[in-house]
Order: sequence, then C-alpha cells, then structure tokens
Amino acid sequence: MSRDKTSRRDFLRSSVAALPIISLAATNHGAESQQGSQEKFQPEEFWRERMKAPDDGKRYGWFVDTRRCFGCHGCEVSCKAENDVPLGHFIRQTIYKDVGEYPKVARVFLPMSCQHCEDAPCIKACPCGALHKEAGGTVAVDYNTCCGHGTCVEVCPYGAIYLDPVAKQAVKCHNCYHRTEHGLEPACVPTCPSEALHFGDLNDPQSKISRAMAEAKTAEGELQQLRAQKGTKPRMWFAGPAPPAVEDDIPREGQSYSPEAYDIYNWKKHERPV
Amino acid sequence: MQRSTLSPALPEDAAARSGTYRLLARLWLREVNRDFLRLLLTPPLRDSFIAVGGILPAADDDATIEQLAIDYCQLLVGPANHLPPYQSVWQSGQFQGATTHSMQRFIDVTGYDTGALTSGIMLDHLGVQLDVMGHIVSQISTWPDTPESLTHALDVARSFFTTHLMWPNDLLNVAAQQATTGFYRSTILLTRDYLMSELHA
Amino acid sequence: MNDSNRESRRKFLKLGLAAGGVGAAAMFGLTGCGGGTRASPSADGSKPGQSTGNLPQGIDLEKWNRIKGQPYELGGFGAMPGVCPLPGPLAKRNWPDVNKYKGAKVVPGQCQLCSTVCGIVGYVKDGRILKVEGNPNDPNSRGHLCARGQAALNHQYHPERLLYPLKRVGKRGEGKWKRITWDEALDEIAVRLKAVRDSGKPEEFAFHQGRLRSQDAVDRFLNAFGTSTQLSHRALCSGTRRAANSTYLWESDWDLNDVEHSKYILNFGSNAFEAHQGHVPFAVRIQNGRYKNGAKLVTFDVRLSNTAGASDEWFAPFPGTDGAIALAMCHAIMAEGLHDADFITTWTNVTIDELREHLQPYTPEWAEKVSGVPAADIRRIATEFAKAAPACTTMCNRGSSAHLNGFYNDRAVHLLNAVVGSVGKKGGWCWSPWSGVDPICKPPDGPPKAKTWSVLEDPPEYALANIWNRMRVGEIVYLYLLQGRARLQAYMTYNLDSPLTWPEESITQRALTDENLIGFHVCINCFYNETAHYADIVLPWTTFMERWDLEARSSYNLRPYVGLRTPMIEPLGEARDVRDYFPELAQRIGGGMEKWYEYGSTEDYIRHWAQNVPVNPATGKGGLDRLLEEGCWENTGQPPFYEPYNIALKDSDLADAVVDEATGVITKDGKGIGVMQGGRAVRGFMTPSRKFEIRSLFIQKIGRNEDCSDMIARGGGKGANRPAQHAGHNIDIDQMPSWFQPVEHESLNDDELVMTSFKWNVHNHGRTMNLKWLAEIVHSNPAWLNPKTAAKHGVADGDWIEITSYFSRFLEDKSPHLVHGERDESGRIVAGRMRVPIVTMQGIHPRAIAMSNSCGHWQYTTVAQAKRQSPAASSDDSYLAGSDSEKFRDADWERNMWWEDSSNGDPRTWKRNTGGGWNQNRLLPIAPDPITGQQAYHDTVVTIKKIG
Repeated sequence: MSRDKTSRRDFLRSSVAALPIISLAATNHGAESQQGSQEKFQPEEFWRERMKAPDDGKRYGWFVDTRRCFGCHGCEVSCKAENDVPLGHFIRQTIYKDVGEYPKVARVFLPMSCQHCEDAPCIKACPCGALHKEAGGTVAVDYNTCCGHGTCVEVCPYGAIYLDPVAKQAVKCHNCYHRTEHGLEPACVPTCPSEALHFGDLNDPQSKISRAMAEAKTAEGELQQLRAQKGTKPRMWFAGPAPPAVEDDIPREGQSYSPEAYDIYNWKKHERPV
Repeated sequence: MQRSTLSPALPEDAAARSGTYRLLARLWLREVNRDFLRLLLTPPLRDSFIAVGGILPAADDDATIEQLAIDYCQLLVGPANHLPPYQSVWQSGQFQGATTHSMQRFIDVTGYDTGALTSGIMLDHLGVQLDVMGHIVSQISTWPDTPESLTHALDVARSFFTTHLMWPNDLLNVAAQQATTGFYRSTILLTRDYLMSELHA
Repeated sequence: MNDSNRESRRKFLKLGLAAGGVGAAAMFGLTGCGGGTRASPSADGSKPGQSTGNLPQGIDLEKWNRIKGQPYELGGFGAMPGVCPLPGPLAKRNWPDVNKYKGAKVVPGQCQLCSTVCGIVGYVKDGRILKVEGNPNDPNSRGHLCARGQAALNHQYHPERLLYPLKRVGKRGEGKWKRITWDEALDEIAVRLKAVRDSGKPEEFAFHQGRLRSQDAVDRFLNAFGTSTQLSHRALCSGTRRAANSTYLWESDWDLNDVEHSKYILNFGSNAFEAHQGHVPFAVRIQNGRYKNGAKLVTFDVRLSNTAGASDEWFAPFPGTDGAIALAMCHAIMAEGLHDADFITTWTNVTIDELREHLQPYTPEWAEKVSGVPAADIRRIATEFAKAAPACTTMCNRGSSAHLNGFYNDRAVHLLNAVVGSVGKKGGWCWSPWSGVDPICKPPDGPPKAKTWSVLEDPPEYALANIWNRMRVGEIVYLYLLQGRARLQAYMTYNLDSPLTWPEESITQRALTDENLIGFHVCINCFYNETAHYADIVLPWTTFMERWDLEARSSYNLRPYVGLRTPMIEPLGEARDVRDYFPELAQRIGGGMEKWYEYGSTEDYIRHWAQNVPVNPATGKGGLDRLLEEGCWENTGQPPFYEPYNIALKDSDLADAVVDEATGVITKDGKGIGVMQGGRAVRGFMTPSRKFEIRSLFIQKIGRNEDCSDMIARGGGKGANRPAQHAGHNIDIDQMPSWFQPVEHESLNDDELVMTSFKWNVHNHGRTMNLKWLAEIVHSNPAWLNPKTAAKHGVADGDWIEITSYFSRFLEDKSPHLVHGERDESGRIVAGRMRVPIVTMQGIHPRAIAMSNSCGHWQYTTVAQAKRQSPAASSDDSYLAGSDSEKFRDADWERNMWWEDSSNGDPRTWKRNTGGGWNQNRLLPIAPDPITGQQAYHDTVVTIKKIG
C-alpha cells in the first residue's frame, strides 16, 4: 500500500543534494580524521586501560530512527530532569532543519548525544585520567578525578561534552548507568513519544535495539553514522533522512551543544553560517 | 571568613540566646498580629528590641497591622517578586531540596516539636530554622549534666548553625532593601546582625 | 570580637532574656494559623514532634552519632550540577548517583500539563519526587511522555509557586496582597456565595475553568449550589470539530482515527506531533501506522508544523480552504468511481446520486482556485486515499476547524471517510462512546443538575454550541459582561489564564477589573498568573502530583480505561485541592449543600468511585488498591469499537420495539434503538435516521429554532432542543456539507495577510512558560513570513514590523452583536496593533503570517517573563560562609538563563531568540464561528508595516 512512500525520502535526498554547502562541507570534513586532535592525545600507556570496558559480555549502543522522530524534545527535557543539567548546557539535543523551498519543504529532526565511541578521543585526550569506559562500553567521567581541563571538549568530534559552570568539570551522556543498574532504561529512551530512540545490548540479537536496527535495515538499507570518517567508531546508528541534512550543523571539536540549536532563525538550512 | 565556633564557654547564656532565636523565628514565620505586636510594644521587650536596632510602629491599630501584613506578604509570601525564605530555594532554585530533608533529620535528632508550626510549612523556612536553633540552644542550658553531653549538645548546635543558618545572607540583604516598613526592615537587619553575632561569639 | 560587637551581643542576649521572660514560642501565637491540620511528615514516617530518643524534647545522641558529620548527604540527593552544593567543594562527586533510585517508591499519577493526561509515575524518596516518567501501564500513552510532562519537576518545585491563600488589599488589579488563613478565606467566600444563593439569582455565581480534570467534583459543588453557569474554554479549543462529528454521529463528538492500523492518513491542519488533545497516544500510533504498517501521511496546513514537516507530503492551502479541498477530493473519488457505494447506500442517509449532485460544483479545479493546491494533486491524493480504503482515515483539528467557516471545513473533511467507507472500520475513521473514565466506575451519587440559565453559558446566537453537549462560547463572556448582558455577583476561576489565552486581551482585562461587572473573584491556581492578578482572593492549588482524580480520555485503543491521579507527596505549603475544601465550603454555605458531602474523605470518595475496577489475579488487588499499584486499568473485556453500527440488537432489546416501515428505524418506548438493515435489526448510528447523517435536517431545524423532539427521540440519546431564550436568534445552517469562504478572504486586498496561530510542542496555551526547561527551548515567537512575502514588504530576518489586525467583515454582517471598536480610514474595524520581529520561513503560505500562542506573559513568574529575579544583593557583607554574590534564589536561573531581553522592545538592540515573546491575543479579535461559537483563531486579516 505504500505506493508513494518513497516521496518524502526522495524529495529530502534531492533537496539535500541540491544544496552546495552540504556536499562541500561533507567533502571538507570528510578529509578530516583525528589529525587535529592527535596532538592533544596523551601517551597510549596513560589511557590504554581506561579505553577497555569491564567485560560483562555486553556491548551498549544507540539506534536513532530519524524517520520516526518528530522533534518533541521529550528526550532532552527528560535528560535535564534526570541529570539536572544547567540552563544553556545540554547532554543531548535535537537539531531541526527545514529542507527545500516553498512549496516543497520538509523538516527533519536529529536527536543526538555522546556517541560512546569505541575509539574515544576524549579518553585519549583526558589529562586527568577521568574519562574511561564503564561496563558495556559506556564512556563516562570519573568526578573524583576530573579537573575540568576541557581537553575532551577540544577533541570530541560531535560537540557532545560541556564544562559544568559550577563544578568546572566535564559533563556528557553516561548512558544513565545509574538507572540501567536498577533495570531502568536511560531517561531519554522510554519517554520518546515517537519510539525513535533505542538503547541496549548490541551483542544480543533479541534485544529491542537489535531488532529495531534489523527492521530499519530491511526498510532503509544500510544504517548511517555521523562523521564516521573521523574513525572514532561511534556506537550510535541512524536511519532516516536527518543525518545527511543536519550533519554539517552538529557541533564539532571545541564546541558544545548550545542554545543556538533552538533558535528558529537557525532552522533554515540555506542561511546557516558555517 | 571565620567559621562558627559557638564557644562552649557560654552555656549560661543559652536561655537568652534561645529566647532571641525564638523571637526572631516568630517574626519570620508569621506576620505580626495584634497580640504579638502588643507584646513587642510593652517593656521590657520593647526597650530591648529597640536597643538592638529594632524599629517599632507607634501603635497597634488596624491600619498598622494591615500595613505590616502587606509588607510581610510582598516580602516573603508573594504572589510575585517576593523572596521565598526557604534555604532550598536559595541554594538549589526549587522548593523541598536536600536542605528540607536535612532539617527533618535535625528535627528528629533534637526532638523539636513541629506541632506549633503552620500546617504544610516546608521545614527549611528560615523561621523554622531559627526556631529549631532556639530549641537546640535551650538544650544546652537545661540538659547536659556532664562535660561529655555538653560537648555533644554543642556539637549539634554547631553543626545545625553551619548547615542551616549560614545561608541567608543574600536573602537578608535583598529583603532589607525590599522592605517597605521600618519594622520589617529592622527585623531583617537584626536577624542578620544576630546571626553574625552568633557566628563570632 | 571588638567592643561594639560585644555591646551588640550583650543587647541581643538581653532581648533574648526579655523574650524568654514573655514566654516560649507558643506565647507568641505561632499556633492558630488555621488552615487544616496537616503537618509535615517525618522522614522516617513517624509523627512529627515525636522523638524516639530517651529524653522528651532532648537531643537524641544515638541518632546524632549515626548521622553527624555529613549533613548534606543526609537527604540522599547528591550534589547537583549547576547548583552549588554547600558547604564543601563545588565538584561533583559520585555522579551520577547510583543510589538515586535505590529505595525510591513508585507512585502512579496522571500528567496534566496538557489535556492529553498521559499516565505518569513519580519516583519518590524522602518525601521528594526525584523524577517523573510515563506509566507503561497507561494503555493510551503506553509509557511515553512529551517534554511538557518531563518538566513536571519544574512545576512541582517552582520557587514562585503559590503556597498560601491571599487577599487583595489594594484596588483590583493593583497587585497588593496579604496572606490570610484558609479559615478566613473559606469564611469570606462562603459569605459571598451564600449571598448570591440567597439573592435568588444563583446563576450569577459563575465557575470558569481552564483545564479541568475534576469535573465530577466541580459539578457536585455547582449543582449543590444551584448554578449551571459553568464557563469553559471549549469554544477556544475544539467546539467546531465536536459539532461536526456530532452532526454525523450524535453518539460522539470526537473522532478517533485508527491510524495505527491505517494505510493512508490524510491530515487537514492537525498538528498531532506537537499539540493535540490526543498528542502522545495519537502521535505514536501515527508513526507505528507509517513505519510498521506502511501508511502514508499527507498534510494540508497553512504552516509547516512539525507534523507537516515530518509528513510524506505537505501542501499549504490558502487559510481556511481545507473544506474546499476535501469536497473536491470527494468529488474526484466519486468521479473515478472509487467511492464505497455499499456504505453510502446502506449506511448514510443520502443516495449516491444525491451525493454526486451535491458534490458536482466542487471540482478539483474549483478547489485549486480557492486553495491554491493544484487540481492534479487533489485528484492524485484523493485517488490514493480511496484506494487504501477502508484502512484510511482523515484527521483534523484546530487547523481546519478554528475558522469562521470551520463547521463546514470539518464536515467536509469527515465526509471523505463516508465516501470511501472507512467510517468505523479498522484502520479507518473511528470513535468511541468512552470519552472519560470507564462508566463501570461510578462516583458517589451527586445532586441533580442545576437548571439555571445564563447568557454567558448559553448565548442564544450560537445554535450548535450547547445542543449535544455543553461546549459554550467562552470567547464572548467578557464582551457580554461589558455589554451589560449579564453580571456576576461571584466568579470563581480555576486553572485559567484568560487575559493571555482569550482573544482581545484588553476586553478581558477591562471586564476582570470592573467590580460592577464581577462583584467578587476567587482565583484557584498553582501560580500567580494574569487571571489571579485581577482576583480578590487567590487560593493556592495543589499540583497534579499532589491531588486525587480518576482520569481517562478517549482512548485510541477504542475501549475504556481508568487512570488514577493520587498525591505522590504532601502538598507544599498550604496548597489544597477543591476536592478537599469544597466540602468545607458547602458546610459553611449550608442550606442543604452540605448533605452532598457525606461520603467521607477525598480518598473514601475515590475508593468508592474505583470500587468496580476488577481484581488483578496476579496481585489479588482490585479497586483503588489496584490503581494505587498499577496506575491504570484498561477494560480489555470490551472489544475495540469497530463498526458499532453493525452490532445486532438482542432479542431482549427488540421486545415491544416498533419498526417504522418507511425508514426501518426501530424505536422502543418512543426512543430510537436501532435500524433494520437487510432484514437484520442492528444498532445503526445514534442519529434520527440511525444512519451516518450526511444530510442533517436536525441542524437546519435547530438553526431555525424549531422543535426537534421527535428527531431527538429517534437518536435515542444525545441532543436537545434550543431553550426558549434562543427564540429570535435564527440562523441558516446547511443540511449538507457544503462550503463557503468568508468575504474578507474571498476579496483579500493585496496588502493584506491572514494571521494564523499555532502551539509549540513544548508548551500548552497559557500554563507552561513558567517551566524553565521548556522556556529554554521556546520562549519567544517572532512572526513567520514566507521569504517572498517578506521581500515584498521589504523586511528580512530579525526586522520588526507593526501588525494591524481587523475585525471580520463576515462577522460584521453575520454577528452584528459583536461589533465594537473604531474604523480606520479604509473603513476596516481595527482590532489591535502590535510590534514584533519576523522570521522568514519557507514553510508558510505566502498570504499567511503565523504567530504562536503561549508567549507574552506579564505575570506567571519571572521565568515566564524571561526576567531574572530581583537585583542581586551587594556582597560586601559576605561574612556568612557559603555566601556567593552570584547565587540568588534559583542559582541556575540567575546564573545561566541566557535569553533575557534587555532591549525594552527596541528593534535596534533586540537580539534574536531572546525575551518572553508577544501575546498574539492582543491582535486577535473575538471571532466565533456563527454556528458553533468556535473562536476563529486562524482567519484574522492583518496588514504589516516595517518599523525601526
């Protein structure tokens, strides 16, 4: 019955391709790897152990189905409430982009947070040895150690870390391990009214996330990752139209999520300064 | 900045200190009514209140009581642009934060009787805190009969003061500016002065 | 300590002795503050004031030794980011706290930050709610919760919440108050209400609700009092859609589109992904329909909402032309022969020929002319829709219905489902008779309905406003008061922010200020809002996490359920709910009112109400005890409400029933119970013809003030004649779903635009801008313009314009009783002027200008006004440890709030994405659809001019 089901996807693809800034940006950043960051990395023996997750047989990951997301911000506010994130700072955010020209316009939504990279540059760069992996591969900060150098912010390719204005320490998504240990999902997941967010064990083919990813692959083909060319092996996969349309507007090294993402003047793809 | 020592050498002052705390508590917890205002206007309370910088209205007529009630309300109750006198609000931006729970623990430990409080009052209201401190201080004069128990009592007092009576500096400064009656402005300032005096005693 | 300090110390001790001489605190009158007997619970659950120690009134050494030394870890709340933990280092430690949820109690509830009322749970520890989440047991919302619900903690613990009853001391609206006790408040209210009752004009006591989810408690009070002047906001919300549904169905005013099982969803102006009465439950099912069932979603909307933006296709019609497009689609479907001839013939009350003839003028080419949507697209979408039948459905809401022609828009949209035969089908256009709590739950018996009449509650000009149910016409209330058509001796407002949410803010303010029009105003609210500002007494209300209700909405599972709202914690301060003090008020007013409150406590009442919730075999618990554990119970014994018209009547129903030869309508005791279909006696529709009434003789006769008793009887349930007071207010209502365009749109001048309104996904209309986590995402509302339109007016992003709005010319003709205001040189009546910045957006029709509601508060906490709190104290006296001059009240707010606007409205210094926005209702005129009374939020003609 989905005769014309592809219309939105096709339209979005053609619209995104039609915007020179995107393809240009994609090329530019495609050439990047962790080159700029590497000089900020600590010697390997300093972080080798912290890069290893305590092995409990689990491999945590994220799947974000941007076909389903309609930008309600429920995940972000749930995250604020769970972690009491100060105003102006964000552990997760959803970026809006309007794609196309009147009368053919669509809006895409990209919810995102720390990608929990397997080869996490923040762990490599952390001068205090605070960034480390928890069970399942969760990249987390040890607050008895973090002194707020901010080097992690400088090297994160996704702008997913901020420095807390009071604690003067790095804050990022920690997969709500204080909740998962009690059998709860991360705060952003169950609340999602579009059922676009999935978190769980990628090693378990029967986990909700594994099944959702398999279904999406069948419908959409290969899943996408953000800035995969950075080579950090992110543990977050995406389906749907948002990643190519939004990728260029995601904060990058040296940046953090900012209120600008919510500014309606920035919803417009074509006028966004890079 | 000096930390409170609450010198152990002063158990003999405890009754007086307790009295001041409980008087201030009453002033913060409710707007004054006629009976209370009459007490304040009567010696020796009147003279001692004035001696510490208190400003008293000339009379206890309806208009004065109404004016004081309005000032108390706009300062501490609202509905808008007021200064909620709760520690949680000033320290965590919301009602019923960790300090409320800490107050409950102190109340459990010290046997303070909440029965006299207005129903529903959140326990980290400055008035409650002053009253609990008054209660704790009164224990210093009445209960400890050994040096060891005195030490414990002072320990509780010191801990309570540090935890629950060293926060309201900003509240007191802004409230003094926002008060429209001499009575409440002076009440606020003498609360501040008394806490300072306790800190350095 | 220096000498002066020593002197000061000495004086303080003297004061203390003097005070001690007078007596302990009790002598100072700490007691006797009134207001109930609730006292704070102790952390360990023991009674307050009881010491478990060895000495009464003494310090419990054993306890002290256990807890001393770590005062700030006592509560189990670790240091919070962005907020100074005092005393001690500012660094986070052991964060996130793995013990946060350890030992937390899970208490169910129902959200009330919008009307969807999703099931929630609160994690409660040490008397504090740690987190609010969706309740997976809620069959409707399935455990999901949107951003609003997630901001529940902001609502609950907001430092500017109202905690005590207040009494006005200055002039009304001056903002001067004093605190009073509950006893004083209730005494005064009772005296005033008793006087109204004794005056013989009980209808001059009006209860005016915003969002109300305690209908039973309010009904009980008003009926016991004897007034039926209960005012609402339904006409500002859903009046037209309800009237259109009722015209076809009678049984229900609420279509429930079975989108989860659909193959094709045709959306006319509904923004279900952001704001809808069924928001979360509906949205998740739409996405399941699309991504699990292969449905296509097509949206027609003037503005690219998130729903439109996430649809498979979006079309921007000229404002208010949804009905024209829908009729043209019906036309196209019938022209292609894709209609469901069987359904039309069997289940509607028109023939195929009649319908085809009726639709004949509504060609796609005609619709293109009025709507701008290409005829080819109209044909294509119509064909796709029809081919998906019966698993296809329309959906619509205020986008199509909040128009001067909204009643015809919605009838036309609904008609599509009849033409393709998806009415009541799985995946189609459905409804259910269960709009609230499962009727197997019955509250204790209440008083009979009061039978008074007030022009405010039942204005005679609006024929369909109160026919099937009480929708009323909220937006005329203040105007009618000012016109002297009514006065109120007493006025009780509840969860209402009318100055912000009602059209024509200035009219609302004038009426609320005038003590001759409103003699006495009691306002019940959690926060001091723009309505409270004009009250005489303000009563602090409990939040939805502090009170009791049984709760449910029309479920998209098409079967009934029950949800429980229960206090998760003790109310803060002296906040109380009407359920708890209406009995006391009734007692004080007396005169028989009190006898309706003999059911015991509020909990007893709820327990009685919930007693028929069956036992869960797994837990052995039923009734309230089951709900206290699970939060919700769905009546799964009830099959989903598909094709109810085909349900066969039982033999017992048919005993003594009479069949009308001509129509097949089956009546019993003069009341319709069904209809003969192909030799079977079936339930049919609950209309006079027992069919889906495409042709409604009833609404035409109601419009003419004719007696419809026989029709109402055949419908067998809902529906009423218009009362005598309506005589002389005749109105033409078309029997058939036709369509017209308001004259001012038909001949829109070149320089004119049509203003449309919208709601954000993080806000409701007037009650969420005080929540900082939501205000951070959306706090302002520049006007949307298409870039082409902006260029034509010489404005660009961030430029400011002055908008002038005009009263409807169509209403000047149809509703002369509304006309007020001055005409400008062009002869148009000016409704308002306002200066706002613009944002150019590709996603808006070039003849439209869009502004959101929710913004522009001038009360409702400093957060809603995007202002930091009072100027911080000077820090030169920072002798107290831990003082921090930067830290003031909500440290997070004071330090980190980033969108304060210091421009004072000066376009040259205003920065994008700052400030609290503008109240669109300064521009929008009172504009009820003359048939239903629904406020036409999307039709106002405006002109714009660049400024600055």
